[in-house]
Amino acid sequence: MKQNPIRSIPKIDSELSLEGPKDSFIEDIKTNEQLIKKRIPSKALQQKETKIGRYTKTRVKLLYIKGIVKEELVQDTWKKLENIIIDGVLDSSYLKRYLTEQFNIFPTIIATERPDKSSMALLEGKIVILVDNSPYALILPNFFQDFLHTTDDYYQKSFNTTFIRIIRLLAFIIAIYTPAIYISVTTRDYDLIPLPLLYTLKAGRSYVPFPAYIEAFFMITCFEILKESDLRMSTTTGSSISILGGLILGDAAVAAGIVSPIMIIVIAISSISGLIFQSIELGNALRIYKILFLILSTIFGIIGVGIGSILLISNLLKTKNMGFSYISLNNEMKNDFIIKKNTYKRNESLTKNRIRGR
Amino acid sequence: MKKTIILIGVLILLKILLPIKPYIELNHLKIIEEITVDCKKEYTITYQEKIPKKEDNGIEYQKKEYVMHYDSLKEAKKSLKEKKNFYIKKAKIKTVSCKKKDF
Repeated sequence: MKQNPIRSIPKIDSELSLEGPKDSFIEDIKTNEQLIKKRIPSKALQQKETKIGRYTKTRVKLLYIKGIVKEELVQDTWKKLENIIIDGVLDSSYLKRYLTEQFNIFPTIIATERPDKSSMALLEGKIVILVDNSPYALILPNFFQDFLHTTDDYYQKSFNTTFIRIIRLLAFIIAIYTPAIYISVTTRDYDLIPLPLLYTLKAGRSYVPFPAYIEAFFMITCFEILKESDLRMSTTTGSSISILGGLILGDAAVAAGIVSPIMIIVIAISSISGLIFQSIELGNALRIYKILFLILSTIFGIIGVGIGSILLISNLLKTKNMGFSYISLNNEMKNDFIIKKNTYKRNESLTKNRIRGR
Repeated sequence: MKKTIILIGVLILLKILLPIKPYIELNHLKIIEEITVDCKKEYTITYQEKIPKKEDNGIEYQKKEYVMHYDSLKEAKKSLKEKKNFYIKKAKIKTVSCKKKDF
């Protein structure tokens, strides 16, 4: 019998980690399932299979651990999968919009190439969906903190993990707030900064012909174009283009008097902070909020930053995923949000079987 | 769509109602270092602006003076409020031949 061509299990490409296993999912659903079963050989690991796609008839498997996961979650997810009517499913990302309840700027489903991350999710009481021809497994439901954490957090010491999580949370805030605060203190709210700094900023901007917000939008656009072109180029030419783009944006633009050096620093810090997160969708959400905050601070000044903060927090609180609140601060969540404690209990929102170990 | 329209309406209302400071680019902002008030005949107010200029060695400062004459202090204060690009919050005030009760 002729076998479909499949590639060998590669090393992890996108979700890099310092410690932990390095194997990755591939496009074959059977192999991916075996990678998880290798880690969780227990008979409690259950799976349900269906075919989705009128023409592609793509195999889709729903994995969960019986006794840990909530039955209602499995049934709700299965019902959603069964009700999908689509021509074809070419990748797991096709299923995302059917599994989310409402439009969300923030991501609610994790797509991962890592079998260890998928296995960890199953042990937490989550569901993993494998799709044939896709090297990405879908994990749901997820909370806001799941997008701030990485697999390295669970392989390193608590102290190191806590420190890195604080850095990530700061990066989240810096990515959104930095350009907006800069615009507000250089156009309306001069009182917020010390006088020597105000002189430095004024000197730096003295030759720039554009208003600060035009400069900011220009730099954000240039940075996004550079990032996008870097992704599409091959590794050999990509790095050369990146260096060229960086030099043009950085050095030449300042020398030509188009932008001020401080604006480049502000946008660079903000954009690099956004790259710290593995989730592309979270990066997109940060970009949207960065621009929203920029518009609000241009119109309202520092009050606009306050209005933006209210919108951001209300959006986070309003977001739901499979019936679970995106921000949920019960005890285990608090224990694991920033400070990593060695807790042997699972999240009570996800499961009633909370004891993980001793 | 309805929510978006309501949100835009609320933002416009906030723009009208809230005490938002005027938009002034740093290039147009005059940072006043010192204000001298001379009360001899009429009120003469001298605004001393400190202008930072970026040089190779660092930042160098130049000074520029604006002299204005007013019939009364009230008129002077009113005129200052109209000059939105004058940043005087950190300025030192010096008085010459003025009585303290005027302030």
